[in-house]
Amino acid sequence: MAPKSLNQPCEDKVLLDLWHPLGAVEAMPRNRVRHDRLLGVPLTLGRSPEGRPAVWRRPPDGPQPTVWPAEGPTGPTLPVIEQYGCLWTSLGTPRPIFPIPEAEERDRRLLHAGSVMLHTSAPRAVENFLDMGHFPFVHTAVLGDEPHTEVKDYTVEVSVADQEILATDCVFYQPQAALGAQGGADVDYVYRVPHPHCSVLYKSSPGYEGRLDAIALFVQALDQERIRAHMWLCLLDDDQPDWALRRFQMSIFGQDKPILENQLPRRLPLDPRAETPIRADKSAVAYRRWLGQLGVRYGVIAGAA
Amino acid sequence: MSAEELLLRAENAWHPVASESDLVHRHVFHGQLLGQELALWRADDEHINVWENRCLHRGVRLSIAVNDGRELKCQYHGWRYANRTAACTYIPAHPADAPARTIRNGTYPVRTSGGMVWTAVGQPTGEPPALGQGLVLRPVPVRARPADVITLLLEQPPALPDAQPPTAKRRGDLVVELESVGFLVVQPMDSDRAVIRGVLSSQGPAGERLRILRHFDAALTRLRDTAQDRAADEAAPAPLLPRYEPVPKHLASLPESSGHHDLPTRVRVVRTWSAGAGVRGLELGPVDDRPLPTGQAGAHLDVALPGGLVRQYSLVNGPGETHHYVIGVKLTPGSAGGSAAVHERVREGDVLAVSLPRNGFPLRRDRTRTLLIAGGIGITPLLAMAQTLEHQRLSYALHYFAAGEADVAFRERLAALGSVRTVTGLDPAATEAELERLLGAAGEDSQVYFCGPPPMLDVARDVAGRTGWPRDSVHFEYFRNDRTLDHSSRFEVVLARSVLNLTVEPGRSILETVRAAGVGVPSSCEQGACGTCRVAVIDGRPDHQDVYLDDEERAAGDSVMTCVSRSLTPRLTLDL
Amino acid sequence: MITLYDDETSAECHQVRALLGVLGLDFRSVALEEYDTDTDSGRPALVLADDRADPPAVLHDASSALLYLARIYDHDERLLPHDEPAKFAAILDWLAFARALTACAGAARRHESFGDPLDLLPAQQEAHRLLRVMDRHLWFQEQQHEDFLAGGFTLADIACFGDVALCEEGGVSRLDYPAVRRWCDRVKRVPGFPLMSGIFPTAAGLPS
Repeated sequence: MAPKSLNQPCEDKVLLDLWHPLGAVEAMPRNRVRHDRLLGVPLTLGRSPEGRPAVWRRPPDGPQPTVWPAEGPTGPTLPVIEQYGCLWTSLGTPRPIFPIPEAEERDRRLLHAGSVMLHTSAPRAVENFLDMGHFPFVHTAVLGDEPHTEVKDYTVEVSVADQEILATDCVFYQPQAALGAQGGADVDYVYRVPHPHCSVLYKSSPGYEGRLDAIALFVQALDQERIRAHMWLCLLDDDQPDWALRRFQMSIFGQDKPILENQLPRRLPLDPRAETPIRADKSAVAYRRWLGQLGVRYGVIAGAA
Repeated sequence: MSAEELLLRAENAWHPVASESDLVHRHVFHGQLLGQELALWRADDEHINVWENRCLHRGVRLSIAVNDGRELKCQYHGWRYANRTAACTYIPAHPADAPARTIRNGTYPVRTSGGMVWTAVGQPTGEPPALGQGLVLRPVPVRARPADVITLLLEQPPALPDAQPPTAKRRGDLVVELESVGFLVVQPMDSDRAVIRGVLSSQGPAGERLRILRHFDAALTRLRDTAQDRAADEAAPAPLLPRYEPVPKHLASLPESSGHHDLPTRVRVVRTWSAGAGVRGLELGPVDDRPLPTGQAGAHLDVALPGGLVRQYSLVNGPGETHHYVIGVKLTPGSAGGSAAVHERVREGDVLAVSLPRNGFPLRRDRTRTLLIAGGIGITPLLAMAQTLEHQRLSYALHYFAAGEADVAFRERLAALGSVRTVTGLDPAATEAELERLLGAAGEDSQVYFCGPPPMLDVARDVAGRTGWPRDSVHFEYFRNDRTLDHSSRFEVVLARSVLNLTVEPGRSILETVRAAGVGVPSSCEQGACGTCRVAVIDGRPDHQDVYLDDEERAAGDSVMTCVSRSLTPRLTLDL
Repeated sequence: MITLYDDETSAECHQVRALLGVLGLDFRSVALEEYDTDTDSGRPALVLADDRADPPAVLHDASSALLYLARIYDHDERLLPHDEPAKFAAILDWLAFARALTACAGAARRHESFGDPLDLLPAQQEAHRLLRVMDRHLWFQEQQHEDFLAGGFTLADIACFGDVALCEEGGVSRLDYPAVRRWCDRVKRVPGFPLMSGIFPTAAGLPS
């Protein structure tokens, strides 16, 4: 049982003023509503018979209809945008959402690969997404394979102006570098953390020299220790059917899930002494420090400072 | 005594957390005591480990880890933790680095009594109650306060089949004796959860065992239902919050340093034997019940010998072999007396002072094939490596060059390995030819480790260069430096970080000079062989006299072995 | 060719994949959503199509798929012995038990992971009850030196494994079921037995 305070709504202005994902646009049929949570706040979201999406605060014990109410939203509505395959909302005063320029490139496949709920905190999920060292052990024979376990040195920058973390020059051995390829090869990765609960990874795409596939993780913090993770793909490949791409992402994420659900504590500890970082964890160290500097308290265990 | 008081007192008491039979080989048992999660596992050598259920690295439960019989391997990043000490022995993300010695998971004390495994989360006094060796009951978990479960057991003691209820007597906060039947013990998992465990004083007739076990299982299940019914009428107490101890401060940032010849561990010489011609094997055990600090494959110990000498010996231990250190010492005629001291003066039962294990020769496990090439007593670290690779089922081949058959040491360990070849009686030319053959045939993604006498290693180094081996795939350990050292120069060293200018006089080393000025540099062999005292050079040209650096590293001139090397320029600026 | 219209996240589909793996049968895996169905039938949890049979067989349920595959391809009747009526019946009992597990532990997991509608608490309580039954059974099996549910590795173990191994995703902890946890390790060591996302590998057994 979580202490009661874990279920309290988020009070971090830095998080409240951001856009947060609520799920795939196509998963919101017209004339239906669904009940959900964001940062500890109960919400109702849905699409009007005309197709207009709306999100509003729901009283915790209020009724839970499943069709669009005839009188329209039954509570104060929140801002809504549709972006990167997701519906997004904000509980505060949001600035424009972080850019993913690749989404504008005409020849890319854009695909919502799935949404899964997990018993963990949003920062734990983001940190796992930034981590390459687990590939051989958690994504065995897919993203990595023993004995090729080395995480070579890479570069991490925290850009204050852009409010994001950037990890570049990341390289990791992948046993099957491309579908149908024989043998493994080093694959290049770039990681961005443009939002405390979102990350975009870029990886080399076979057959598209110099261009990178983008794979994004958008985390919806339902509360401090419960999340819904939304996976979004922005790929150069157009050979494989949607279901195969979805299946692949879901199976990868399904491998991370039990790891994340077996991490103790569930909230991310920001005190450097809570866990043991190694050089391979540079991006995680930067991420934890960045959350501390932003003043994030929700979903983390604050540092001893 | 209130339920809260009982829980408070329980902190510093022994409690059963599993049946001994629960801990089967190659399995990790998930336990809990007073809100604290536990990972319990039995090693192949039968040692029972009770650990905090959390990998130090990223907090992943170790109850989901892989028990390979000697170590636990975390599912997340493959970190390995040794039997007994819970010391981290390998971090796959950095295969070339030995993990900091102080990366150790939390462990709890372990006892056995009444067929159960006991531990304590606080500081227990005394020993667990002696419950004998009888028939161990199936444990029954209960969702109720531990204090209420004890009350119920005293109120309604379960009887043997077809017998009157026994007299129940409380034998401790959470122990009930059923007179002439056995004992029941309540394991406090949390403030509102418990496990009833029990042991009957007699095994009973063989044919009756199952019937008696089923009988008690049914009885305890009924008691569980009663306890849970009663608990349902009350508000459940708040669960206990687990404690997550912080890791030591220096682990929050990585580098480690150690003092000069720091010999904190006392070991007893348990056994000595002739391990091969002129080689004395030494088994060194702990002097008390604290486990020995764990060494990794390739590590060595500094050992203080009778007569005041300190010498380095590689550990022969295999993975998970954590209850002792095993070293092998070759008698070297005409040496300064270290080997003679071991051969002539060390006796079984003696107590020696040793350093923490240091590893300047760590074993990478990220290559598809590993060649291990030993010359003479250089077999010792490579034997530790071969046992590790064998156990992890990684591909390797150990080639052991010895003068003659009689000189082959540690035969019983070699016999247990799948891929060993001994090569005897080769002269230097034939040795070189054989090295060429071995190194020339290696495939891509291989690596090679050499340890042996300096002349052989010098040749091996040449051959590896000639046959096109990449530098980062070739690893050497010299066990002594045979070069003639020249201490005659005088020069200045500038310590950039300490802002000190010092003069190194003829006959003194950089290391001695720097230490005399109060700046600490770790060292081990102090003859330019082990690499421990390596320091980065910021400016100036070093006069390398060690055998540790390879040609390319020497040419780069950006680091120096401070124990033997000097300066070619009047001034040498060091990153100290 | 055997075709499995498969959902890789589903424990029911895993039952069938596990049997195919243990029998060493090749099969084609297609996403379940690609299977044509009408609204009356609804989407089944899986579809197994075997066009090597005459007439071709098409099955829509894990238990029937297991029974079908065992009947045809388990030539030495290791997994479903026909001439041991008591054991045969015990295995059918465990197949029913597995369906009960799917209805509570499996449903709790789908609710907690994918938001499928469910009254969660009663489902979790029922899952705990079934796990208690299994743990007691397996503990007494161990006392009799039996490693598996019905004496020797059978369809019973294949059918029950997935929902048990994944139950923690539904908020049902296995902490109180040590005999079940040991059984999970033994099942994973059966040659050919496949894992799936969410199920960790275990160590090789002690060399005998």
